Amino acid sequence: MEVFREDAPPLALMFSRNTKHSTYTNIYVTRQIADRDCLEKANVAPLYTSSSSEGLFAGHLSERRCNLSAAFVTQVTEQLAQSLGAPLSGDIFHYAYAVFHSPDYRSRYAEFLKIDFPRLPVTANLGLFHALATLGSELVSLHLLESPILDQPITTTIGKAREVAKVGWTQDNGGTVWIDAGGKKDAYTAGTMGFCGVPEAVWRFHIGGYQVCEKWLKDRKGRSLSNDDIAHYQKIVVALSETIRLMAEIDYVIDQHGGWPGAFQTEAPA
Amino acid sequence: MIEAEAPTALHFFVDEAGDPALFNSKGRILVGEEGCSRYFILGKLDVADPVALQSALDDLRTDLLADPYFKRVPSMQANQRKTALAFHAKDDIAEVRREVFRVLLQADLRFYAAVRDKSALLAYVKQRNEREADYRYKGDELYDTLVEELFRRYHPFADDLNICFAKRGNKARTHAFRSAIERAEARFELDFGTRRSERVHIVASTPVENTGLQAVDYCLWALQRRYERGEDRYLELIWDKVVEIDDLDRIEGGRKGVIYNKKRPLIIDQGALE
Repeated sequence: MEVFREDAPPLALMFSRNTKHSTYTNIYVTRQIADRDCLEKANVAPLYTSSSSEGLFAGHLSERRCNLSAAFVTQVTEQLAQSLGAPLSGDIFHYAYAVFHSPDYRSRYAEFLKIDFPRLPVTANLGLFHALATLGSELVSLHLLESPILDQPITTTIGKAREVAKVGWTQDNGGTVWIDAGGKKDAYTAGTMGFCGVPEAVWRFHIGGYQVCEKWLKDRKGRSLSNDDIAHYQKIVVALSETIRLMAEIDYVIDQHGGWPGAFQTEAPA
Repeated sequence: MIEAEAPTALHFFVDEAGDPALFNSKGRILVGEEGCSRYFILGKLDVADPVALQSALDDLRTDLLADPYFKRVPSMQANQRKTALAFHAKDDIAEVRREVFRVLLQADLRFYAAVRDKSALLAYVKQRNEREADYRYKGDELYDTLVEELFRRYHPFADDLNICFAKRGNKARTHAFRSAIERAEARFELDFGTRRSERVHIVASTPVENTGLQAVDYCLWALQRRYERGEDRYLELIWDKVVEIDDLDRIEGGRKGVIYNKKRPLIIDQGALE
Protein backbone atom coordinates (compact mmCIF):
# COMPACT_ATOMS: atom_id res chain seq x y z
CA MET A 1 0.00 0.00 0.00
CA GLU A 2 1.44 3.35 -1.07
CA VAL A 3 0.96 6.00 1.58
CA PHE A 4 2.07 9.48 2.48
CA ARG A 5 4.94 9.37 4.92
CA GLU A 6 4.12 10.46 8.40
CA ASP A 7 7.66 11.20 9.50
CA ALA A 8 8.54 13.72 6.81
CA PRO A 9 6.55 16.60 5.40
CA PRO A 10 4.72 15.03 2.47
CA LEU A 11 4.45 17.04 -0.69
CA ALA A 12 1.99 16.15 -3.38
CA LEU A 13 0.93 17.66 -6.66
CA MET A 14 -2.80 18.00 -7.17
CA PHE A 15 -4.02 18.22 -10.73
CA SER A 16 -6.96 17.47 -12.94
CA ARG A 17 -8.19 18.08 -16.44
CA ASN A 18 -9.85 21.36 -17.19
CA THR A 19 -13.33 20.41 -18.30
CA LYS A 20 -15.36 23.47 -17.42
CA HIS A 21 -13.36 26.64 -17.51
CA SER A 22 -11.76 28.74 -20.20
CA THR A 23 -8.51 29.11 -18.27
CA TYR A 24 -6.53 26.24 -16.79
CA THR A 25 -6.22 26.62 -13.01
CA ASN A 26 -6.40 23.01 -11.88
CA ILE A 27 -2.96 22.73 -10.29
CA TYR A 28 -2.26 22.91 -6.60
CA VAL A 29 -0.03 21.45 -3.93
CA THR A 30 -0.70 19.84 -0.56
CA ARG A 31 1.02 18.25 2.36
CA GLN A 32 -2.14 16.56 3.55
CA ILE A 33 -4.55 13.94 2.36
CA ALA A 34 -6.75 16.01 0.07
CA ASP A 35 -10.42 16.14 -0.74
CA ARG A 36 -10.86 14.81 -4.26
CA ASP A 37 -13.40 17.49 -5.14
CA CYS A 38 -11.20 20.46 -4.40
CA LEU A 39 -9.92 20.64 -7.99
CA GLU A 40 -12.68 19.14 -10.10
CA LYS A 41 -11.92 15.54 -9.15
CA ALA A 42 -8.29 16.10 -8.40
CA ASN A 43 -5.59 13.51 -8.83
CA VAL A 44 -3.01 13.62 -6.08
CA ALA A 45 0.55 12.57 -6.88
CA PRO A 46 2.83 12.48 -3.84
CA LEU A 47 6.45 13.26 -4.52
CA TYR A 48 7.49 10.38 -2.24
CA THR A 49 5.73 7.21 -1.25
CA SER A 50 6.43 4.50 1.29
CA SER A 51 5.23 0.94 1.37
CA SER A 52 3.45 -0.79 4.20
CA SER A 53 1.85 -4.19 4.04
CA GLU A 54 0.02 -3.50 7.28
CA GLY A 55 -2.21 -0.76 6.00
CA LEU A 56 -2.38 2.99 6.04
CA PHE A 57 -2.17 3.37 9.80
CA ALA A 58 0.66 0.92 10.44
CA GLY A 59 3.35 2.25 12.69
CA HIS A 60 6.30 1.15 10.62
CA LEU A 61 6.89 2.34 7.10
CA SER A 62 9.69 1.27 4.84
CA GLU A 63 12.16 3.70 3.33
CA ARG A 64 10.60 6.42 1.24
CA ARG A 65 10.69 6.11 -2.51
CA CYS A 66 10.66 8.92 -5.06
CA ASN A 67 7.42 8.83 -7.00
CA LEU A 68 9.06 10.09 -10.19
CA SER A 69 10.03 7.28 -12.50
CA ALA A 70 13.74 6.59 -12.70
CA ALA A 71 13.54 6.80 -16.48
CA PHE A 72 12.02 10.27 -16.29
CA VAL A 73 14.63 11.52 -13.83
CA THR A 74 17.37 10.07 -16.03
CA GLN A 75 15.90 11.76 -19.08
CA VAL A 76 15.72 15.12 -17.31
CA THR A 77 19.28 14.70 -16.10
CA GLU A 78 20.53 13.83 -19.56
CA GLN A 79 18.68 16.73 -21.10
CA LEU A 80 20.17 19.11 -18.60
CA ALA A 81 23.60 17.59 -19.20
CA GLN A 82 24.08 17.79 -15.45
CA SER A 83 27.68 17.33 -14.48
CA LEU A 84 26.88 17.56 -10.79
CA GLY A 85 24.65 14.52 -10.70
CA ALA A 86 20.91 14.15 -10.98
CA PRO A 87 18.72 17.08 -10.05
CA LEU A 88 16.89 16.59 -6.79
CA SER A 89 13.40 15.24 -7.18
CA GLY A 90 12.18 18.30 -5.28
CA ASP A 91 13.75 20.52 -7.94
CA ILE A 92 11.85 18.67 -10.64
CA PHE A 93 8.66 19.02 -8.63
CA HIS A 94 9.18 22.77 -8.22
CA TYR A 95 10.15 23.14 -11.88
CA ALA A 96 6.93 21.41 -12.92
CA TYR A 97 4.90 23.53 -10.54
CA ALA A 98 6.34 26.68 -12.09
CA VAL A 99 5.75 25.54 -15.68
CA PHE A 100 2.14 24.65 -14.89
CA HIS A 101 1.67 28.16 -13.48
CA SER A 102 3.06 29.90 -16.55
CA PRO A 103 0.24 32.04 -18.02
CA ASP A 104 1.75 31.50 -21.49
CA TYR A 105 1.76 27.72 -20.97
CA ARG A 106 -1.85 27.84 -19.87
CA SER A 107 -2.99 29.88 -22.85
CA ARG A 108 -0.73 28.22 -25.44
CA TYR A 109 -1.93 24.74 -24.50
CA ALA A 110 -5.43 25.67 -23.34
CA GLU A 111 -7.12 23.40 -25.88
CA PHE A 112 -4.90 20.45 -25.00
CA LEU A 113 -5.47 21.01 -21.28
CA LYS A 114 -9.20 20.56 -21.85
CA ILE A 115 -8.63 17.13 -23.33
CA ASP A 116 -5.97 15.51 -21.22
CA PHE A 117 -3.80 15.99 -18.16
CA PRO A 118 -1.07 18.62 -18.39
CA ARG A 119 2.13 17.49 -20.04
CA LEU A 120 5.46 18.77 -18.81
CA PRO A 121 7.91 20.25 -21.32
CA VAL A 122 11.41 19.77 -19.98
CA THR A 123 14.08 22.27 -20.83
CA ALA A 124 17.66 21.42 -21.69
CA ASN A 125 18.76 24.77 -20.31
CA LEU A 126 20.14 24.35 -16.80
CA GLY A 127 19.82 28.07 -16.06
CA LEU A 128 16.14 28.08 -16.96
CA PHE A 129 15.56 24.88 -15.03
CA HIS A 130 17.04 26.34 -11.86
CA ALA A 131 15.26 29.68 -12.29
CA LEU A 132 11.90 27.97 -12.71
CA ALA A 133 12.57 25.53 -9.87
CA THR A 134 13.28 28.50 -7.61
CA LEU A 135 10.08 30.29 -8.62
CA GLY A 136 8.14 27.04 -8.29
CA SER A 137 9.55 26.56 -4.82
CA GLU A 138 8.31 30.03 -3.84
CA LEU A 139 4.87 29.24 -5.23
CA VAL A 140 4.74 25.96 -3.31
CA SER A 141 5.72 27.74 -0.13
CA LEU A 142 2.99 30.33 -0.67
CA HIS A 143 0.29 27.82 -1.50
CA LEU A 144 1.10 25.75 1.57
CA LEU A 145 0.89 29.01 3.57
CA GLU A 146 4.43 28.40 4.80
CA SER A 147 6.20 31.42 3.32
CA PRO A 148 7.41 34.08 5.78
CA ILE A 149 6.12 36.72 3.32
CA LEU A 150 2.63 35.82 4.47
CA ASP A 151 3.33 37.37 7.84
CA GLN A 152 3.35 40.78 6.22
CA PRO A 153 -0.29 41.45 5.37
CA ILE A 154 -1.15 43.83 2.55
CA THR A 155 -4.70 44.29 3.78
CA THR A 156 -6.31 46.04 6.70
CA THR A 157 -9.72 45.40 8.15
CA ILE A 158 -12.52 47.91 8.38
CA GLY A 159 -15.60 47.76 10.60
CA LYS A 160 -16.41 45.73 13.69
CA ALA A 161 -18.99 43.24 12.40
CA ARG A 162 -17.75 39.63 12.21
CA GLU A 163 -20.63 37.62 10.78
CA VAL A 164 -20.29 36.69 7.11
CA ALA A 165 -23.37 37.59 5.09
CA LYS A 166 -23.12 38.56 1.43
CA VAL A 167 -19.54 38.49 0.13
CA GLY A 168 -18.68 41.10 -2.48
CA TRP A 169 -15.89 43.31 -3.75
CA THR A 170 -15.88 47.04 -4.49
CA GLN A 171 -13.16 49.41 -5.59
CA ASP A 172 -13.24 51.36 -2.31
CA ASN A 173 -9.95 51.77 -0.42
CA GLY A 174 -7.86 50.23 -3.19
CA GLY A 175 -10.26 47.30 -3.40
CA THR A 176 -12.30 45.97 -0.50
CA VAL A 177 -13.80 42.55 0.08
CA TRP A 178 -16.95 43.02 2.15
CA ILE A 179 -18.42 40.27 4.27
CA ASP A 180 -21.74 42.16 4.35
CA ALA A 181 -21.84 43.73 0.90
CA GLY A 182 -24.93 45.30 -0.60
CA GLY A 183 -26.10 45.14 -4.23
CA LYS A 184 -25.81 42.20 -6.57
CA LYS A 185 -23.04 40.20 -8.28
CA ASP A 186 -20.78 42.43 -10.39
CA ALA A 187 -22.52 45.51 -8.93
CA TYR A 188 -21.79 45.19 -5.23
CA THR A 189 -22.00 48.15 -2.92
CA ALA A 190 -19.95 48.78 0.20
CA GLY A 191 -20.87 47.05 3.45
CA THR A 192 -19.69 47.81 6.99
CA MET A 193 -16.95 45.21 7.51
CA GLY A 194 -14.33 44.17 5.03
CA PHE A 195 -10.71 43.64 4.05
CA CYS A 196 -9.22 46.74 2.44
CA GLY A 197 -6.36 46.64 -0.07
CA VAL A 198 -7.45 43.61 -2.07
CA PRO A 199 -6.64 44.32 -5.74
CA GLU A 200 -9.23 43.29 -8.31
CA ALA A 201 -6.83 40.73 -9.84
CA VAL A 202 -6.51 39.05 -6.44
CA TRP A 203 -10.28 39.13 -5.90
CA ARG A 204 -10.86 37.50 -9.29
CA PHE A 205 -8.04 34.93 -9.02
CA HIS A 206 -9.19 31.34 -9.51
CA ILE A 207 -7.68 28.02 -8.42
CA GLY A 208 -9.33 24.81 -9.49
CA GLY A 209 -12.27 26.73 -10.86
CA TYR A 210 -12.91 28.50 -7.55
CA GLN A 211 -12.64 32.23 -6.99
CA VAL A 212 -10.52 31.87 -3.87
CA CYS A 213 -11.18 35.18 -2.08
CA GLU A 214 -14.92 34.77 -2.50
CA LYS A 215 -15.11 31.03 -1.93
CA TRP A 216 -13.27 31.01 1.39
CA LEU A 217 -15.64 33.57 2.89
CA LYS A 218 -18.80 32.16 1.28
CA ASP A 219 -18.01 28.80 2.87
CA ARG A 220 -18.22 30.60 6.22
CA LYS A 221 -21.51 32.34 5.53
CA GLY A 222 -23.52 32.80 8.73
CA ARG A 223 -20.45 32.34 10.90
CA SER A 224 -18.53 34.95 12.87
CA LEU A 225 -14.91 35.32 11.85
CA SER A 226 -12.40 34.84 14.66
CA ASN A 227 -9.14 36.73 14.85
CA ASP A 228 -7.41 33.62 13.51
CA ASP A 229 -9.84 33.51 10.59
CA ILE A 230 -9.09 37.14 9.77
CA ALA A 231 -5.35 36.55 9.97
CA HIS A 232 -5.73 33.45 7.78
CA TYR A 233 -7.71 35.35 5.16
CA GLN A 234 -5.10 38.07 5.10
CA LYS A 235 -2.47 35.42 4.44
CA ILE A 236 -4.54 34.09 1.57
CA VAL A 237 -4.65 37.55 0.02
CA VAL A 238 -0.88 37.89 0.27
CA ALA A 239 -0.42 34.40 -1.18
CA LEU A 240 -2.62 35.19 -4.16
CA SER A 241 -1.02 38.57 -4.73
CA GLU A 242 2.43 36.97 -4.70
CA THR A 243 1.20 34.15 -6.92
CA ILE A 244 0.12 36.66 -9.55
CA ARG A 245 3.51 38.36 -9.33
CA LEU A 246 5.40 35.07 -9.57
CA MET A 247 3.33 33.84 -12.49
CA ALA A 248 4.29 36.96 -14.43
CA GLU A 249 7.90 36.40 -13.43
CA ILE A 250 7.77 32.82 -14.65
CA ASP A 251 6.75 34.01 -18.11
CA TYR A 252 9.42 36.71 -18.00
CA VAL A 253 12.11 34.13 -17.17
CA ILE A 254 10.93 31.85 -19.96
CA ASP A 255 10.98 34.77 -22.38
CA GLN A 256 14.51 35.62 -21.30
CA HIS A 257 15.56 32.08 -22.22
CA GLY A 258 14.02 32.09 -25.67
CA GLY A 259 10.27 31.98 -24.95
CA TRP A 260 7.87 29.27 -26.12
CA PRO A 261 8.75 26.82 -27.55
CA GLY A 262 12.48 27.60 -27.97
CA ALA A 263 13.26 27.66 -24.27
CA PHE A 264 12.06 24.06 -24.00
CA GLN A 265 13.82 22.53 -26.97
CA THR A 266 15.83 19.57 -25.85
CA GLU A 267 19.11 20.55 -27.47
CA ALA A 268 21.26 22.39 -24.96
CA PRO A 269 22.25 25.92 -25.91
CA ALA A 270 25.74 26.27 -27.38
CA MET B 1 -11.54 28.37 -81.23
CA ILE B 2 -13.09 26.13 -78.65
CA GLU B 3 -10.78 25.13 -75.86
CA ALA B 4 -11.00 21.56 -74.72
CA GLU B 5 -12.06 21.28 -71.09
CA ALA B 6 -9.42 19.92 -68.75
CA PRO B 7 -10.19 16.34 -67.73
CA THR B 8 -11.80 16.08 -64.34
CA ALA B 9 -10.48 13.74 -61.67
CA LEU B 10 -11.74 12.21 -58.48
CA HIS B 11 -9.35 11.04 -55.78
CA PHE B 12 -10.69 8.32 -53.51
CA PHE B 13 -8.83 6.89 -50.54
CA VAL B 14 -10.11 3.59 -49.19
CA ASP B 15 -9.46 1.92 -45.86
CA GLU B 16 -11.17 -0.34 -43.36
CA ALA B 17 -11.98 -0.29 -39.66
CA GLY B 18 -12.44 -3.42 -37.59
CA ASP B 19 -11.43 -6.95 -38.29
CA PRO B 20 -13.19 -9.04 -40.96
CA ALA B 21 -12.42 -12.28 -39.08
CA LEU B 22 -15.36 -14.29 -37.74
CA PHE B 23 -13.41 -17.38 -36.66
CA ASN B 24 -9.96 -18.09 -35.33
CA SER B 25 -7.55 -20.46 -37.02
CA LYS B 26 -9.18 -23.45 -35.31
CA GLY B 27 -12.65 -22.48 -36.47
CA ARG B 28 -13.84 -21.18 -33.12
CA ILE B 29 -16.21 -18.22 -33.30
CA LEU B 30 -14.57 -14.91 -32.38
CA VAL B 31 -17.58 -12.63 -32.77
CA GLY B 32 -18.76 -11.38 -29.40
CA GLU B 33 -15.46 -12.03 -27.68
CA GLU B 34 -13.45 -9.27 -26.09
CA GLY B 35 -10.98 -7.77 -28.51
CA CYS B 36 -13.01 -8.73 -31.56
CA SER B 37 -14.77 -5.86 -33.30
CA ARG B 38 -18.53 -6.11 -33.61
CA TYR B 39 -18.58 -4.32 -36.95
CA PHE B 40 -16.50 -4.25 -40.06
CA ILE B 41 -16.48 -0.94 -41.87
CA LEU B 42 -15.09 0.05 -45.23
CA GLY B 43 -14.77 3.74 -46.00
CA LYS B 44 -13.83 5.85 -48.96
CA LEU B 45 -12.85 9.47 -48.77
CA ASP B 46 -13.14 11.79 -51.74
CA VAL B 47 -10.32 14.32 -51.39
CA ALA B 48 -10.67 17.32 -53.70
CA ASP B 49 -7.05 18.38 -53.38
CA PRO B 50 -4.76 15.60 -52.10
CA VAL B 51 -1.66 17.78 -52.46
CA ALA B 52 -3.12 20.53 -50.24
CA LEU B 53 -4.26 17.95 -47.70
CA GLN B 54 -0.82 16.38 -47.63
CA SER B 55 0.77 19.77 -47.14
CA ALA B 56 -1.61 20.67 -44.30
CA LEU B 57 -1.11 17.39 -42.45
CA ASP B 58 2.65 17.40 -42.99
CA ASP B 59 2.83 20.94 -41.60
CA LEU B 60 0.75 19.90 -38.62
CA ARG B 61 2.99 16.90 -37.93
CA THR B 62 6.08 19.07 -38.14
CA ASP B 63 4.57 21.59 -35.70
CA LEU B 64 3.46 18.94 -33.23
CA LEU B 65 6.75 17.07 -33.28
CA ALA B 66 8.64 20.31 -32.71
CA ASP B 67 6.43 21.28 -29.79
CA PRO B 68 8.17 20.47 -26.47
CA TYR B 69 4.76 19.77 -24.98
CA PHE B 70 4.75 16.42 -26.80
CA LYS B 71 8.45 15.70 -26.50
CA ARG B 72 8.08 12.68 -24.25
CA VAL B 73 4.88 11.21 -25.71
CA PRO B 74 5.83 7.62 -26.64
CA SER B 75 3.74 7.44 -29.82
CA MET B 76 5.44 10.58 -31.10
CA GLN B 77 8.97 9.24 -30.88
CA ALA B 78 10.59 8.57 -34.23
CA ASN B 79 11.64 5.05 -33.24
CA GLN B 80 8.02 4.11 -32.53
CA ARG B 81 7.19 4.75 -36.21
CA LYS B 82 3.73 6.00 -35.32
CA THR B 83 2.67 9.66 -35.17
CA ALA B 84 6.17 10.74 -36.19
CA LEU B 85 5.60 9.05 -39.55
CA ALA B 86 1.85 9.21 -40.13
CA PHE B 87 -1.27 10.13 -38.22
CA HIS B 88 -3.23 7.10 -37.12
CA ALA B 89 -6.23 7.80 -34.93
CA LYS B 90 -5.86 4.68 -32.79
CA ASP B 91 -2.23 5.42 -31.93
CA ASP B 92 -2.39 9.20 -31.73
CA ILE B 93 -3.00 10.85 -28.37
CA ALA B 94 -6.20 12.80 -27.81
CA GLU B 95 -4.58 16.21 -28.22
CA VAL B 96 -3.09 15.19 -31.56
CA ARG B 97 -6.42 13.78 -32.73
CA ARG B 98 -8.07 17.08 -32.00
CA GLU B 99 -5.54 18.93 -34.13
CA VAL B 100 -5.86 16.44 -36.99
CA PHE B 101 -9.63 16.75 -36.95
CA ARG B 102 -9.21 20.52 -37.01
CA VAL B 103 -7.19 20.25 -40.23
CA LEU B 104 -9.59 17.74 -41.78
CA LEU B 105 -12.55 20.01 -41.10
CA GLN B 106 -10.88 22.73 -43.15
CA ALA B 107 -10.25 20.41 -46.12
CA ASP B 108 -12.63 19.70 -48.99
CA LEU B 109 -13.60 16.09 -48.22
CA ARG B 110 -16.55 13.75 -48.71
CA PHE B 111 -16.78 10.53 -46.76
CA TYR B 112 -18.72 7.38 -47.65
CA ALA B 113 -18.83 4.12 -45.70
CA ALA B 114 -20.41 0.69 -45.72
CA VAL B 115 -20.96 -1.07 -42.40
CA ARG B 116 -21.48 -4.76 -41.71
CA ASP B 117 -22.64 -6.15 -38.41
CA LYS B 118 -20.47 -9.23 -37.88
CA SER B 119 -23.07 -11.06 -35.82
CA ALA B 120 -25.51 -10.78 -38.75
CA LEU B 121 -22.75 -11.88 -41.08
CA LEU B 122 -22.02 -14.84 -38.83
CA ALA B 123 -25.66 -15.89 -38.97
CA TYR B 124 -25.50 -15.73 -42.76
CA VAL B 125 -22.30 -17.80 -42.84
CA LYS B 126 -23.87 -20.46 -40.60
CA GLN B 127 -26.95 -20.66 -42.80
CA ARG B 128 -24.83 -20.94 -45.91
CA ASN B 129 -22.73 -23.66 -44.36
CA GLU B 130 -25.88 -25.65 -43.76
CA ARG B 131 -26.66 -25.40 -47.48
CA GLU B 132 -23.08 -25.69 -48.77
CA ALA B 133 -20.89 -27.88 -46.59
CA ASP B 134 -17.75 -26.89 -48.55
CA TYR B 135 -18.25 -23.16 -48.13
CA ARG B 136 -15.57 -21.48 -46.01
CA TYR B 137 -15.86 -17.83 -45.05
CA LYS B 138 -12.77 -15.67 -45.72
CA GLY B 139 -12.14 -12.11 -44.58
CA ASP B 140 -11.16 -11.08 -48.10
CA GLU B 141 -14.61 -12.05 -49.27
CA LEU B 142 -16.20 -9.55 -46.89
CA TYR B 143 -13.72 -6.89 -47.91
CA ASP B 144 -14.34 -7.39 -51.62
CA THR B 145 -18.13 -7.37 -51.32
CA LEU B 146 -17.97 -4.16 -49.33
CA VAL B 147 -15.70 -2.58 -51.94
CA GLU B 148 -18.28 -3.43 -54.56
CA GLU B 149 -21.09 -2.14 -52.37
CA LEU B 150 -19.23 1.07 -51.62
CA PHE B 151 -18.41 1.84 -55.23
CA ARG B 152 -21.65 0.77 -56.86
CA ARG B 153 -23.47 3.57 -55.08
CA TYR B 154 -23.61 7.09 -56.44
CA HIS B 155 -20.53 9.25 -56.56
CA PRO B 156 -19.77 12.17 -58.90
CA PHE B 157 -18.81 11.66 -62.54
CA ALA B 158 -15.21 12.37 -63.56
CA ASP B 159 -12.92 11.59 -66.46
CA ASP B 160 -10.36 10.01 -64.19
CA LEU B 161 -11.13 7.99 -61.10
CA ASN B 162 -8.01 7.67 -58.95
CA ILE B 163 -8.41 5.14 -56.18
CA CYS B 164 -5.78 4.59 -53.54
CA PHE B 165 -6.53 1.81 -51.10
CA ALA B 166 -4.64 0.87 -47.99
CA LYS B 167 -2.49 -2.23 -48.20
CA ARG B 168 -3.86 -4.87 -45.90
CA GLY B 169 -0.95 -6.40 -44.03
CA ASN B 170 1.54 -7.63 -46.60
CA LYS B 171 -1.11 -8.11 -49.25
CA ALA B 172 -1.66 -5.53 -51.96
CA ARG B 173 -4.56 -7.46 -53.55
CA THR B 174 -4.78 -4.85 -56.31
CA HIS B 175 -6.20 -7.37 -58.75
CA ALA B 176 -9.06 -8.38 -56.45
CA PHE B 177 -9.71 -4.75 -55.63
CA ARG B 178 -9.82 -3.85 -59.32
CA SER B 179 -12.23 -6.71 -60.02
CA ALA B 180 -14.55 -5.47 -57.29
CA ILE B 181 -14.40 -1.91 -58.67
CA GLU B 182 -15.11 -3.14 -62.17
CA ARG B 183 -18.09 -5.12 -60.96
CA ALA B 184 -19.36 -2.02 -59.19
CA GLU B 185 -18.91 0.13 -62.30
CA ALA B 186 -20.64 -2.48 -64.42
CA ARG B 187 -23.59 -2.54 -62.02
CA PHE B 188 -23.78 1.24 -62.12
CA GLU B 189 -23.71 1.17 -65.95
CA LEU B 190 -26.43 -1.46 -65.97
CA ASP B 191 -28.58 0.58 -63.60
CA PHE B 192 -28.06 4.00 -65.16
CA GLY B 193 -26.90 3.30 -68.70
CA THR B 194 -23.65 5.21 -68.50
CA ARG B 195 -20.12 4.86 -67.13
CA ARG B 196 -18.96 7.37 -64.58
CA SER B 197 -15.31 7.54 -65.52
CA GLU B 198 -13.26 7.05 -68.67
CA ARG B 199 -10.26 5.84 -66.79
CA VAL B 200 -9.86 4.15 -63.44
CA HIS B 201 -6.43 4.13 -61.77
CA ILE B 202 -5.95 1.90 -58.76
CA VAL B 203 -2.96 1.78 -56.45
CA ALA B 204 -2.32 0.05 -53.14
CA SER B 205 -0.40 2.23 -50.74
CA THR B 206 0.38 3.03 -47.12
CA PRO B 207 -0.60 6.02 -44.97
CA VAL B 208 3.03 7.15 -44.90
CA GLU B 209 3.12 7.30 -48.69
CA ASN B 210 -0.39 8.69 -49.14
CA THR B 211 -1.74 11.25 -46.69
CA GLY B 212 -5.28 10.68 -47.93
CA LEU B 213 -5.15 7.29 -46.21
CA GLN B 214 -4.44 9.04 -42.90
CA ALA B 215 -7.51 11.20 -43.45
CA VAL B 216 -9.79 8.28 -44.26
CA ASP B 217 -8.43 6.46 -41.21
CA TYR B 218 -9.58 9.34 -39.02
CA CYS B 219 -13.04 9.38 -40.58
CA LEU B 220 -13.33 5.62 -40.11
CA TRP B 221 -12.16 5.88 -36.51
CA ALA B 222 -14.87 8.47 -35.82
CA LEU B 223 -17.51 6.19 -37.32
CA GLN B 224 -16.15 3.13 -35.55
CA ARG B 225 -16.34 4.89 -32.18
CA ARG B 226 -20.01 5.49 -32.95
CA TYR B 227 -20.69 1.85 -33.75
CA GLU B 228 -18.41 0.08 -31.30
CA ARG B 229 -18.69 2.39 -28.29
CA GLY B 230 -21.75 4.54 -28.89
CA GLU B 231 -19.62 7.69 -28.85
CA ASP B 232 -21.24 10.19 -31.17
CA ARG B 233 -19.07 13.22 -30.67
CA TYR B 234 -16.38 12.42 -33.20
CA LEU B 235 -18.87 11.52 -35.91
CA GLU B 236 -20.85 14.64 -35.15
CA LEU B 237 -17.65 16.63 -35.53
CA ILE B 238 -17.07 15.39 -39.08
CA TRP B 239 -20.72 14.97 -40.05
CA ASP B 240 -20.50 17.85 -42.56
CA LYS B 241 -17.99 15.72 -44.47
CA VAL B 242 -20.16 12.60 -44.49
CA VAL B 243 -22.13 11.89 -47.67
CA GLU B 244 -23.63 8.57 -46.68
CA ILE B 245 -23.24 5.59 -44.37
CA ASP B 246 -24.63 2.35 -45.74
CA ASP B 247 -25.59 0.21 -42.74
CA LEU B 248 -26.13 -3.07 -44.56
CA ASP B 249 -27.49 -5.13 -41.68
CA ARG B 250 -29.73 -2.60 -40.00
CA ILE B 251 -33.35 -3.71 -40.24
CA GLU B 252 -36.09 -1.09 -40.21
CA GLY B 253 -39.70 -1.43 -41.28
CA GLY B 254 -39.10 -5.02 -42.29
CA ARG B 255 -36.36 -3.99 -44.73
CA LYS B 256 -32.71 -4.76 -44.35
CA GLY B 257 -30.24 -1.98 -44.93
CA VAL B 258 -30.42 1.68 -44.00
CA ILE B 259 -28.68 4.60 -45.65
CA TYR B 260 -27.72 7.42 -43.32
CA ASN B 261 -27.05 10.79 -44.90
CA LYS B 262 -27.68 14.50 -44.40
CA LYS B 263 -31.43 13.97 -44.57
CA ARG B 264 -31.23 11.06 -42.21
CA PRO B 265 -28.41 11.61 -39.75
CA LEU B 266 -26.88 8.73 -37.88
CA ILE B 267 -27.64 9.57 -34.27
CA ILE B 268 -27.74 7.56 -31.09
CA ASP B 269 -31.52 7.28 -30.66
CA GLN B 270 -31.82 5.50 -33.98
CA GLY B 271 -30.64 2.46 -32.13
CA ALA B 272 -27.92 1.25 -34.45
CA LEU B 273 -26.26 -0.19 -31.38
CA GLU B 274 -29.06 -2.53 -30.52
